[in-house]
Parts: sequence; C-alpha cells; structure tokens
Amino acid sequence: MSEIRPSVLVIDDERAIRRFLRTGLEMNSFNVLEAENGAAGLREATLRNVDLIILDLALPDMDGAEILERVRSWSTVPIIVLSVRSKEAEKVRLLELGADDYITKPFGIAELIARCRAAIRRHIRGVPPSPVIHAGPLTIDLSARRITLDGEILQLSVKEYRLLQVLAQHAGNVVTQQHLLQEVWGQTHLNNAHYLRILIRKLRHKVETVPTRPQILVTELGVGYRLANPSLKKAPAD
Amino acid sequence: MPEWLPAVLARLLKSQLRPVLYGLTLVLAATVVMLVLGELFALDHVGIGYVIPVMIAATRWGIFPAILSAIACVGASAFFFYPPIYSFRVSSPQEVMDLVMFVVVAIVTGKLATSLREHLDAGRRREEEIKALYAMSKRLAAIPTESEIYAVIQEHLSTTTGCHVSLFEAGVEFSRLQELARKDRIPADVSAAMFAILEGRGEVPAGLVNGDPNDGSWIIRTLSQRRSVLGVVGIKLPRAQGTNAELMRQRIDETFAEAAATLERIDVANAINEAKLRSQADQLRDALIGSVSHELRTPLASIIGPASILIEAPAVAQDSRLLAMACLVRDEAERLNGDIQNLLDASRISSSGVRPQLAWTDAADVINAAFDRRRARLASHRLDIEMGNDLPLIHADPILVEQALGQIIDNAVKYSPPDSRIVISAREQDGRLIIDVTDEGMGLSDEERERMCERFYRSPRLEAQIRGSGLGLWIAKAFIAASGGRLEAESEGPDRGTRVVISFPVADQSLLMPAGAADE
Repeated sequence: MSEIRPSVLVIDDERAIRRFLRTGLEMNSFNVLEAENGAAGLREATLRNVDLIILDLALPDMDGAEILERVRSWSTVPIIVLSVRSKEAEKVRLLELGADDYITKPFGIAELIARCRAAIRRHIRGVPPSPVIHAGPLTIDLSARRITLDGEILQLSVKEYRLLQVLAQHAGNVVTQQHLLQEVWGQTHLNNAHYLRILIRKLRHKVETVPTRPQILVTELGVGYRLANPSLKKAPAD
Repeated sequence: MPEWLPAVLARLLKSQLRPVLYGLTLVLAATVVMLVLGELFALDHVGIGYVIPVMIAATRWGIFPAILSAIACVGASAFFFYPPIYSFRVSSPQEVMDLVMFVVVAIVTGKLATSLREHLDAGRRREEEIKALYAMSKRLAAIPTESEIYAVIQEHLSTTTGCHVSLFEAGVEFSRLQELARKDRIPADVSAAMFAILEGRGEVPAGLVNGDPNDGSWIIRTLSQRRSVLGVVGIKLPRAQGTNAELMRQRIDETFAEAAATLERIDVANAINEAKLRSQADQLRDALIGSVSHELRTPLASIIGPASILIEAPAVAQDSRLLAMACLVRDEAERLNGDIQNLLDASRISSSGVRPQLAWTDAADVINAAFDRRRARLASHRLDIEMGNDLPLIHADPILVEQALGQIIDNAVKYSPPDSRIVISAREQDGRLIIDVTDEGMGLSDEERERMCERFYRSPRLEAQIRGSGLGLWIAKAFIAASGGRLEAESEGPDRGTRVVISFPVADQSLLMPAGAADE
C-alpha cells in the first residue's frame, strides 16, 4: 500500500491558494488535481478516481453546499471544506451535509495535512478501516469493544463508551455536537448540549493526563469535538 | 286562545324553568315567614311583604320569573291574608289595588334589572375587548420587526373573533404567500381574491366568499393605512349561518376600526418602511463585510500557508536566520489577520449589535481555545493557566467569549515585558464564574482604567510606544456583555501590572443534569 500516493482534488478559484496547496500536499506524498470552479470540480470528481476533495466554499459559479450535496449524492469520498472564521453555524451545516472536516482560513500546512490524513485513513479505496484506533496513550478497539489507556483496560459507562466510539469512527476529524447528542442520547435530546459537556468532562477525567488541558478529546468551539492524534504510523498513506 | 300560545309558553317555561322555580320557592318561603309573623305579632297588611320575593326574582332572574312570582304572590295573599281567608275571592277594592301593585312592581323592577344587567354585560365585554386592544397596542408599541407586527395583529384578531385568521403581508414574495395559503388551507377562490387585493387588482368583496360550501365561508378585509394596503386578512367563519355571519362581520369590522386607530397612533406604516430600509442596510453591510473578509483574507491565506511550508522545509529549518524570517512573515500575517477580524467585529457591533448564540459552555474549553489559537505569539512570555477540575458550566456564546478572552490575552502580552509572567485563571466565586488574566506589565492609571473599554481610546502614556487601534477591549467588552457577563479591570497603578476580570452568573448546576441523564 505504501507506494500508492492518494490523490487529492483541490477545488478553489484562487490560483495562489491552489499553488500553495499543491506544493504542500505534494511535499507530503499526495497527488494533486486542481479545479478552478464548481463545475470543473464536479467534472473532475466524477471522471477521476480521487481519494479526497478539498473544497473552497466561496466559488464564483456555485455554492459550496451545492457541490457538497451533489458529490454526496453518489460518492462517499472524504471532503474537507475551507471556510472563514466566525461562521460556526455554516461549518456545522456543511458537516451535517456530509463534509468530513473543515479548516479555517488562513491555516498552516501541518494542520491541513493532519486533517487530510485522518479523513483519508477511513476511505482508502478497497481497504476496510482499521478497527483499532490509537490516540496518544488511548487505544480504542472497536471490534472487541475494548478501551485501554497505557495498556490498562479502562472501565467506561455505556454512554461514555458510545461517545468514544462515535468519535473514534471519525478519529482525527471533527464530529458535530448535534451528531454526538443524537448518537448517544437520541433524537429527543438534541437541545441538551449540557449533557454532552458533562459527559465529555467525565471522560476527560478518565483519559486525559490533565483533564483541563485535554490533548485527546479536543473541543472545536461552537462546532463539536475531535478525537485528536490518531496514530498516523498505521495510516496506509505513510 | 290562539293555537300557538301553548307551544310558545312551553318553550318559555322550559328555558325559564329553573328561575321560575326559584321565584316560586321564594314566594313559598315568604308566605311561611309572613304566616308565622302574622300569628306571632298580629300584623295587618302583611301582604306588602310579597314585594320582596318579586323584587329579588326581578333583579336576579329577569322579567318572566318576576311576573310569574308576582302572580303567585297575588294568589297567595288573596288566599292566606285577605278576607275571606282560605279563599281566592277578594272583597275590598283597596286590596285589589295592592295586588295590581305587585304586578306593576314586578314588571317595572324586572325591566330595570334586565336592562341594567345587559348594560353591565356589555360593559364587561367592552372592557375585555379594550383590554385586548390595549394589550395589542402595547405589544405593537414595542415595535419589533415587521413580521412580528403582523403576528401581533393576527393573534389579536383570532383571539377576539375566535376564528381562524390568515394574514397576507404586503411586500412578501408571492411564492411564500402561496405556501402560506396552502398551509392555512385557504380555498383557491379566497386566496385568489386576497392576492388580487394585494396586487391592487381587486376590490374587497362586501359579502362572504364561499370557498368550499361544506367548510364554512370567508370574510376578506384589508389592513390599510393612508391608502396603502399593509396586508389582507382572510377570516374563516365556522359553518355559515346568515345572522351569525352578519354578526361576526360586524364584530370583525369593529375590531378593525379599533386596530386601525391603534395602528395610526403608533405609525405602523413608517415602522414597516424603516424596517425595510434597515434590513436593506443590513444586507448591504453584510455583503460588504463578506467581500472585505474574502478579499483581504484570501491573500493572507496565500501568505500564511506558504510561510508554514517554508518553516517546515528542511532547507529553511536548518538555517536559524531563514527560519526566523519565515516565522516573521507568518506571525505578522497572522497579526494582520487579527486586525482585520477586529475591524469586522467592530463594524458588526456598531451597526447591528451582537447577536449571541447562547449555549451551555465549559469555560475550560474557551480558555484552551483562546490560548491555543495564539500559542505562537505567547512564546515570548511565561504563561500559566490555573483552573479547577470542576468549573460550573456557563450559558454564553463560546465563540464570542473566546474572542474576548483572546483580546485580553493579546493585550496582556502587548503591554507587559518579554519573559514576564501572565496568569490565566478560572474559578467559581460568590455564584459567578470568574476568568481573569493577570500580567506584570504597564498597569493602569485611574483614568486609563476608567476609559480603557472606550472605542478608539489609547492611553497617551503608551500611545507612542505600543501600536494599536483602540478597538480590542471595546470589542471584548461588547462580546462579554452580549453573553451576559461583565468585564472589569484592576491595577495597583502604572507599571504595577494589570488584572482583567470577566465574570458570568452561574446557574444552579443541579438543574442541568437530571439524575441518570448522563449515564445509566
């Protein structure tokens, strides 16, 4: 697997951004395809076999959300959205429409590469995602339903396990608060964000070295949570 | 005796049976009392006492029970009290006059009482209506947005008429009105008439408009002021019956006349025009901010991104001077990005106010986000975060609080010497959650402390040494206030450090988590 370079389709109308992304991605062993507007992006996405799409929301010809929906109607290819700050509601909407993650402009290349690898890890063509997820000292074995911290088995309540399970299924990428509430408590508790805050806090006490400075269960303010530091050593892309 | 009389009487009796029975019972009671009194005290003219039950019946139950009671009284007094006793025959003309008196008293008081009661009822109804109108005008006076004005009118109409009311606003897109018509299940001909009026093509129909004859008919009226139509109202009458509908229309028109007066007073037409202008200005501003945001940030993203690649490139990383250059490019571009954000925030606050998205928020998340976002810039100072493991949740806008806290941290870094200590701490104290940022920097004079949150205020003492826009703390204060918190600063004086405190009220945490909700 290691010789296959995943190909990334960059849909952005700014030439400078496309150049920067091409350089950064190629330096990190990705193949890059470019499209300068929504229509071209959709065409490329259909014709080529791409492993990841990086989609700028502000395109001249089409709304980012529309492109997202059109791609999602036939493909599960990971999509990372480039957005601007202080539009948390929009980020949440796009994540709910099927984006795998977002990154706020301006951003550094390291941050983007980490998001890309996390998203791609679950979607490598023809390879089922690994049932074992590592996040720092935490190991989540989804098939055995076993959580270990530094090798020791961790006792979790039903809801704590469920929360960790949902985050692990998206390891490295953000999961919206609404999605977590629905998965852990069900449809009727979508407005009870404080349940989530308190459960996250309990879980942090069990898994984080310093619960008030979390390194594993990271908050994305106004959007949701992210299981950070998925072990990239096991990603086939490397 | 005409043939219909028994039937009419029977109906009358049926509806009045209970009051009549009450009246007769009163007469019976009066008879017993007067018989006893007559025996005990040997009174003459006891019969006059029968005026009492007749009056009571007249005032309480109306004219018909009163007359029947009067007749019963006549019978009873003739039988028991006027000679010959125990016979209905009455001998003296004086006594016949007494009996006639009873009937007259009954009719007169009955009529008086009935009209009094009707007046009272009408007054009470009117009072209710005026109360409702007053409540409506009070709500309207607080003029909210255009659509809220219509909502208030619509709600008032439906409560006063008790019917289903549909209101089409002027100036709303046709497709949205069509959707509303579908949702309210307005028959096609009714909605067509309403659209025609809105578009100035049709007249207001004088009578009823029959949609589906099985489903009641509709009255259409316009809500207008100074000859401009503000909206068209369709009111669905329950199952049309001639007189009923006529009465209903009269009441609706009365309500409308009152509403029109109220509307005139508070000048809805102007309010609506202003609201329209305001929303256009809002749209323009949003478009402008959006485009500034995009136009300035795209090149910034093309600077910061490549700089981040350079910083990680082996060739640069090996040469400390090149690395410093690349870091300088990145940091300055990020600072510029922050300045642009400040300008956008400032224009947002002054033009439309801040609209917070309140949510249950963990202060630790906010502090960590504010810290992480500027980790690179904080490298020059020794930074400590002190917070307890169990801070209470606050109900605030996490994004706004994070931005405000970020401003405060930036200021602490800016106004204190390199390598000095900055402490961010969070705790609960006296029912409030307190987050404070303490530095060992320039401190504040009394005047500076008072004016530091003013827009564009820069201290003359520091203006020349340290650049800035004078917006940061003003934005921070506005954001904290929008989230329901307070921002204060204290300092022991110039060059003796500053402590900026933001605080939020803390809700009763036990209410947040019903037992077993988090876990089972």
